[in-house]
Amino acid sequence: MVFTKYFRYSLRQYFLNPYFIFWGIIFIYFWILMCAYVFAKGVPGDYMLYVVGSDYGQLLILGLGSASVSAAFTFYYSSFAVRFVTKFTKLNPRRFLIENFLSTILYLCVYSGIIWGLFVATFYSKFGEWYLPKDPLGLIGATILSAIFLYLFSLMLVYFVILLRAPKLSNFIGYVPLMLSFLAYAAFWVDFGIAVYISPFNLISNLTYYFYTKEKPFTGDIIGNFMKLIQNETPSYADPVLSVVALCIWILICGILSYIFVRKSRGISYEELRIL
Amino acid sequence: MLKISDLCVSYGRREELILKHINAEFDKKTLLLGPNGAGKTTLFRTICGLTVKISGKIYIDNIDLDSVFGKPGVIAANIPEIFGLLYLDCYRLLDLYMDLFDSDKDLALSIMEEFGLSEGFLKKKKPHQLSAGQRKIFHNAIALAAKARIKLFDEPFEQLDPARKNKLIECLEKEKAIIILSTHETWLIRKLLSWDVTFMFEGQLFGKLSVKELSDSYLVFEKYPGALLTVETPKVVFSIIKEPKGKPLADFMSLDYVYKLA
Repeated sequence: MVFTKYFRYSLRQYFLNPYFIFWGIIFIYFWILMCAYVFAKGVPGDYMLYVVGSDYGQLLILGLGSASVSAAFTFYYSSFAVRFVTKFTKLNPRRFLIENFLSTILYLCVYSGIIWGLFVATFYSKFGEWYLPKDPLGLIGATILSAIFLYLFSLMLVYFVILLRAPKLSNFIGYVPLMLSFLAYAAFWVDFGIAVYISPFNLISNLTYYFYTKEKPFTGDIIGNFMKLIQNETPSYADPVLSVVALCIWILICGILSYIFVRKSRGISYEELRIL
Repeated sequence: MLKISDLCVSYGRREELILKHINAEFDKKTLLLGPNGAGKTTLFRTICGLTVKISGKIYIDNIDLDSVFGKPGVIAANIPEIFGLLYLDCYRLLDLYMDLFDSDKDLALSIMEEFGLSEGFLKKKKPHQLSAGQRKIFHNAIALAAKARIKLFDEPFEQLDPARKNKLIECLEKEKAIIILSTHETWLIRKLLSWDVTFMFEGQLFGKLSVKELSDSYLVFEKYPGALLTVETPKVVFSIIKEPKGKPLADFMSLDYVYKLA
């Protein structure tokens, strides 16, 4: 299938969004520098890969949360033009869905790659060693799963706002992925226990850590559990297989809800949401 | 041909109908004349699929629009909401839509150029950074350049200066597609003499006359025997007549005055 120009311009719009460049790249890079030059100070060399793995996992969810804000606003902005375009241009509904999905997934995956590259390069410049993932293919797979989840999650939120006929909520709802990312970031200090499986953002960081280090991720309280590990005590681990299954279930739930919401939104006229 | 059959539209949970049982056939260039708030834009948005109808059917060449998907060449329009697919600069947005319409980007650019929007200018501006008139030209030009059997122009002359209005009239006259042009400005009936006219008041369509018949007609606020057309709604009653009585229709400039004078 030959892509229309929608695919290329959609990618362009994502990457050149000033909001994304500041919050997704510059802001996250600041924290990468903090991780390498401040937080990793005094960590024994043998443990550095675990630090890189957990820091990358945590910053990745913040970064993906920021990137998803752009995706959510794009979905909202285009929600009415899509009705015309899918009827009266060559971008039929199937083609639109494929191009929109692929451009958003590619954007989120390339973004993850950029963050990873910055991480590895920054730690190399500080410690003179390349801290590369032990299971790169697994890491790529986890990144793709994360991107699919965030795509469907953002889509579901946007169409939920449309169904509510509450355009004023669109600004708030666009930031929900970022807010949940910050909640999951609390895993540095808070042990989520079994609740880690119902928080998709924790699942993303756990899987990233697992494939980066090939060590079981913690259920939370990363700092505390890390200390336990150093002191030869047993930390509280999350099961990686169960984490993959839980994330897939989340993807399924968001996919089904998105489908239902998109279908139901057809009954809502442009005029009902034109406050924007 | 665009055929509308018993079309009703209301917004959301409101019970009041915005478009009330509209039946019409458009087989040549037509002026849709009506005051602001008559439902002209809503009718266009409904044809374009942005506004949801509660009943009725819309056909183009006997094909039900509900069953049309992924078909360029059927409808083009200058309605701003249909151009919100991506948030790009004007040049790239034009490039995107010309690709999606399977149409000629260079033709669109030459029309823009004719109306004073250069390629360099379009590359520097996003649609929201254009003035109201420039934005209107931008959307008009895409609709003009797009290949389509039916073209909908919603208030295409609004915010344009007189020279550009004349240029746009030339472009519309040259156009081969069936055009439906909505406006509240009655001066157009002195210009588009080969077109048809349909009136729209309070969500209803009235009549189908030729512009030639209307160009030297008068408007009286009463039911007039033998009138070319009588419009009767809950808020206003008037007739369009040939006899020199009342006020010349073209002198109204805007049909909004009908309510003021009624």
